Amino acid sequence: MPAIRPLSLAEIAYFHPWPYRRKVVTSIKPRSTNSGSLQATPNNSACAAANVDSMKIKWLISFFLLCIITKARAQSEFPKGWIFPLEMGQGVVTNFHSDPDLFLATLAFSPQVTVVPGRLRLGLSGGGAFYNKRIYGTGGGRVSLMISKGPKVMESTVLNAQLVGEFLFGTKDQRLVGGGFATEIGHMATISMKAHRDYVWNNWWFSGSLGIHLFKKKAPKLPEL
Amino acid sequence: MSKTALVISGGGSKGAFAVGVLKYMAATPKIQFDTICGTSTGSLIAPLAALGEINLLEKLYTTHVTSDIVVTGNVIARFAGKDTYSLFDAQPLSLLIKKTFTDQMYKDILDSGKSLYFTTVCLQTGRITYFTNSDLPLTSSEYDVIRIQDASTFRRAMFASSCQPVFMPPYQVIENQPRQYVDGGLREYAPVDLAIDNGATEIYAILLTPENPAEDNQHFKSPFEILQQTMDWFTMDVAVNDLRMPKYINRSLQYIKAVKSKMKEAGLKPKEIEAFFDIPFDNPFLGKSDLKLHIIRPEKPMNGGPGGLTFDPPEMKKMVAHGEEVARKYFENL
Repeated sequence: MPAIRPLSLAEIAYFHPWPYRRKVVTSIKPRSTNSGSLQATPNNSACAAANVDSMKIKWLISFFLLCIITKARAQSEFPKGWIFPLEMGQGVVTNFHSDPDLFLATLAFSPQVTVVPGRLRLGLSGGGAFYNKRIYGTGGGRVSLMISKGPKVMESTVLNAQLVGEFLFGTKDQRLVGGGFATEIGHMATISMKAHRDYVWNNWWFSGSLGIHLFKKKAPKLPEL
Repeated sequence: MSKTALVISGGGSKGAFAVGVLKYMAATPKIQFDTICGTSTGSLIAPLAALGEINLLEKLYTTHVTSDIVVTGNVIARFAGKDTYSLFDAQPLSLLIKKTFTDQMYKDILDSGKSLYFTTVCLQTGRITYFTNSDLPLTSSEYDVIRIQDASTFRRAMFASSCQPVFMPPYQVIENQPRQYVDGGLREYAPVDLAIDNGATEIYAILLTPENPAEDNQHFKSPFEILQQTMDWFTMDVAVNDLRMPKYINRSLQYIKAVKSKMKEAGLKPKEIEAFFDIPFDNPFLGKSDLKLHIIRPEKPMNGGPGGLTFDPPEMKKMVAHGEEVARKYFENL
């Protein structure tokens, strides 16, 4: 009996309904197969789609389980709720060929909400950037993944370390994708180092920033006993 | 009239040891207590011990994890924040108290006729303050006693008695009185003196630290570690002092008893003997009779983290078993 080989990403996209199919369908090319192996064809597309759906369901279940497990225990870092950091930064814009590099100053307001307590935040970032003697607006999405809770002092945390990813649009058609490393100290301030690639203008933005959290949450009150 | 008192010291999760001792005592010697005095975790155990709810006690002390009691936060955010009061958020403990100690339970305790005392320290006055359900609480110049009027105050006093200062918030027990109270262990680890003052003739004191503390050969470098170690030794010192005085009183009472016995042998009548000891307003032993003091404590140090605030169910099950074992040995040797 011929073995069934796993589908490639392109094949999944081809047999799967929108959004994959509409975008990738033109790039599908026949794949050479080993003799005896079974190529996915429109005839067995239902089977392939079912595999993909089952995978997605497993991922979704895993994600929700992770949410439930982490939500069940209050987290000292990345607790549930919103944060509202206002970040000021400076750095350089460079394409590595022209000299000198351009000075960059940024100001961004980046509200984020914790979607997986103790692990993941999603949010938006909007602000401005000054370089090449002009001010541009920037805005887009941000994801923060906590990678460490740092050292403990008397059973309490002090800071957390996180990886940050951003995708930003600029008012002069800039398209920035990048991220970096950030440290959040005492739920009050964030220090970050980031690199973004502007793939429209073919530039790199390197910056370091300091953020201050606005609108701090009040400490929870004890219930009436 | 002889009175039996139970005294349970503070110690956070190490209260599981006391639960083990009570489990053994409930099953074997069937001792009934007239007065139960608790400090910190001892205050949480006292009401359930009064009602004989040993199974519920065992469940509470072997299933809860640290986050069911306190939420350890970010140290900078807690110290710099407004109205945070403490390093940890004790909301989970307050919810647990509210859920466990119902109004009906309070009524059952009143019906049982047993007197409960919860030890606290007032932050404003620095005085040891006992909250009690007793109808006729004893007053003293050395401490304050406040009578509990309702179930809500009962729970509030219990919570305040459990809140280790700095780690957990002070609590305003009486709503219209701007006084904040914290864990009585700050000044009194095991309220044995209180039990004596209340006329107890036999006291079972369950302590949650061994007689000889373990040496720590660690070289301390961090100020936080040094602070933690200092607090541990300070607590140990409070515990030693709490027992020193009752032991001294007991020895004095035994000495007076021996003197009286010799006077009787010398041919003095009991009335004459009593007249020698009847010095009005200056008799520290007035109303006190020979005391049987049973001290039951672990043989070795138990894990429980700093301040006993690490709640680890497998470790606490071991503490319950150790408590049962120590109690068994103690009562078999009596």
